[in-house]
Amino acid sequence: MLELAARNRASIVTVENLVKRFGHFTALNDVNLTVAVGEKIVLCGPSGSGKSTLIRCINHIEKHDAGRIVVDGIELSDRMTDVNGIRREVGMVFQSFNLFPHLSVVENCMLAPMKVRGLSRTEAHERAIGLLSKVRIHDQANKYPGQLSGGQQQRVAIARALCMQPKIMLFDEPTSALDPEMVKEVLDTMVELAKDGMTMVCVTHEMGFAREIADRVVFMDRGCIVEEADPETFFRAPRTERARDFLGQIIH
Amino acid sequence: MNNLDFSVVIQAWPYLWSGLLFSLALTAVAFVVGLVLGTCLALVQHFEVPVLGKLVRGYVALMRSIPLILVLFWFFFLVPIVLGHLGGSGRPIPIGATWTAFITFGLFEAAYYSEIIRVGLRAVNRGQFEACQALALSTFDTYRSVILPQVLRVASPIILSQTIILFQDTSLVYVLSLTDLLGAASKLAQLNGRLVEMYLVIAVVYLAISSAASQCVASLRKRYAIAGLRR
Amino acid sequence: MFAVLLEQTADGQRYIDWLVSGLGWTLALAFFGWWIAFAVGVVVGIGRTVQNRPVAALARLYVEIFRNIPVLVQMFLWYFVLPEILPASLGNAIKQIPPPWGSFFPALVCLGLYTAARIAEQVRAGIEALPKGQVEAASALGLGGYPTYRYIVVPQALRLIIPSLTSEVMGIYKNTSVALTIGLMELTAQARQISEATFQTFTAFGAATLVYLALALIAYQGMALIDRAVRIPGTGPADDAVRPGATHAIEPIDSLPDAMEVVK
Ligand SMILES: Nc1ncnc2c1ncn2[C@@H]1O[C@H](COP(=O)(O)OP(=O)(O)OP(=O)(O)O)[C@@H](O)[C@H]1O
Ligand SMILES: [Mg+2]
Repeated sequence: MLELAARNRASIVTVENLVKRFGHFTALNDVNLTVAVGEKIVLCGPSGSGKSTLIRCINHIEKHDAGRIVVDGIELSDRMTDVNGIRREVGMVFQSFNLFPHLSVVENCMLAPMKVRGLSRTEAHERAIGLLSKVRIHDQANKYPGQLSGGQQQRVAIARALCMQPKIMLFDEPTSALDPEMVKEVLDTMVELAKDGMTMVCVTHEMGFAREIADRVVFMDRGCIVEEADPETFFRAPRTERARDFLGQIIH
Repeated sequence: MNNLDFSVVIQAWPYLWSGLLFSLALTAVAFVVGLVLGTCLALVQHFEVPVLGKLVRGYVALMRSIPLILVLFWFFFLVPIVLGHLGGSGRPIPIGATWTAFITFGLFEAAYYSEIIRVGLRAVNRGQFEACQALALSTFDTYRSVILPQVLRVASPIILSQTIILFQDTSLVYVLSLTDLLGAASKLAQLNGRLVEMYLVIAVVYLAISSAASQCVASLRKRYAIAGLRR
Repeated sequence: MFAVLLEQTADGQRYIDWLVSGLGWTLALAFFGWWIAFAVGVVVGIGRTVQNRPVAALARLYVEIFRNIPVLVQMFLWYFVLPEILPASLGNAIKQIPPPWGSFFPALVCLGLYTAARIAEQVRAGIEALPKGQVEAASALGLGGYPTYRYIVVPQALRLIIPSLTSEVMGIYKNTSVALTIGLMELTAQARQISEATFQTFTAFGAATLVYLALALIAYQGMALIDRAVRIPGTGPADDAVRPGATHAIEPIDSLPDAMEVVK
């Protein structure tokens, strides 16, 4: 039923027969994935299965070798003149935060809106403070990334991406570089974002999070999508052997 | 020990002072030109611009392999010829030792600064580039607002110590008979025969300026180490 | 283009012989100067790290003085000033030293002691970069101060600083050219002399430049060889080539290696 509902909505990302190689190594092999507007997808799978590669292809940080990727109605290709036109609409949050260490928290959030969206300094500042309060960190706005905890840094990174008002957010293991006690604050932020209706693709192994917000769990192994299901089904009764092994491992 | 008479130094002070000003001016100009040009050279290499990248590499390697004095001789000889060709007449345009010094130091220092910045560029975490891509920043904005500020900041202690060495190296314009601090002292020493006092005094001046500057750099280094840009 | 180098000079040699003799002085100065610099530099560098206050202060004073006065001024101090401020008899004896040696020895002492100050700083940095655990482990084994330095600290620190030492080797051979200001006919001086005698400036400087380039290459290769020869097995060199689009990430750095700071 959920899948049906998803299909009826307009899709924002369509991936068809995607192939990505690193030299002779095939990291993604014939991957198909559609993300509907407002949909929340959790990507999981063993290390090296190609999860990061897949979402990095979606905003063209990695360039794919074959197949089609359409984002927001525009097809990604090498000949594309304005890749930034797509990246503007796609927010990304990295495992290692990648905040700019020489800029204060609020400046981290203001840079791209000013340079890319052409906002004035005051507009950008206003928007940045607004989104920083949304991730509950506006009181640290003038500190530098190096002065914040990991969880705080990751929330800043989320606010920074949101400042571009993206149509979709990509998360690549946003909590796996964090100490356990900080994971929750970041997940809470993401849950809130999901409830606001943001379209999200998250690589994560946080099953509680997946259960709470995911419309679909996509399980990858060795460069292929092996199984797709709603979270309840996936966690309770995975169809494939590989998914069962994987779940067994992460639950211990 | 002969009787030293430092009163000659007091008489000579205005002349030494003007020499010192020349040394400082040469340092400042070479610093600015060297850093700006050096950054460009570093970027050309960093982006592996076809042909030009290789040329720049060769230029930097050459400058770093030969003594500054020889470079001064080269430029004293070459710059008028090159200018002549650029001017179209084909005849050398003599530009004098002062201009030679400014041009040589600017171009020479650029090679050294560019090497510092090039290594700094390589050391920037790849995640920084990816974050810029994800935020749709243009290449120009990426480098101007994110990458270069970090590189310059990380490299600033080394850039500054390099500049202190540059200040000391300006004394080599002595071989072009210019009147920098050392040149002034040596000319006076020939006039009044008081070379012991002259050389000792300017040694102290150089020492004072350089070590004061080194102290500043050291405290800067410490501040950065404590502030810890990254965790 | 280099044919002129084979022509006869006024003194019955060929110009190329002038270059070779200049090269000889350059090499002699760099080689012997290097060993002075290395010996003094290691001692002073260790001195800067010891607990003994007066020793550390003295070592620091040495570094401050020799690093912060331009080489050329130091050259003049050794050559012109030293004989004047020594007791007259000794000063005169120094002035009596016959021509090439009268310039060579001051230049040697000057370059040796100047470079020593720079090496001392590298040695100190190398020692301070060692993990504390090394000294603690040594004292836990009952090693005293001297054996700890001799067998544990210094051997590791020297390996660490080989890249910086490479740039000091390059520095000293380039600085030999400063000796021309006190009349030593080393390579650059000979090139200038040939240029003045033949008006073939391009050829004269070009030949000297090629020789310096070759020396730089040899110095660089030599140090790389030493680096490989003394490397501790299991401690490979870090590959730090990262460009946008390169395939592997590296650790962020907080400061650039000190080896980047070089003399000219
Ligand atoms: N730049 C690259 N060059 C070469 N191989 C790469 C590169 N990036 C990824 N790979 C390889 O592609 C495969 C998929 O990598 P990817 O990072 O997508 O895995 P992942 O599912 O995100 O794993 P993890 O859970 O460890 O993050 C891996 O085997 C990896 O070694
Ligand atoms: Mg990954």
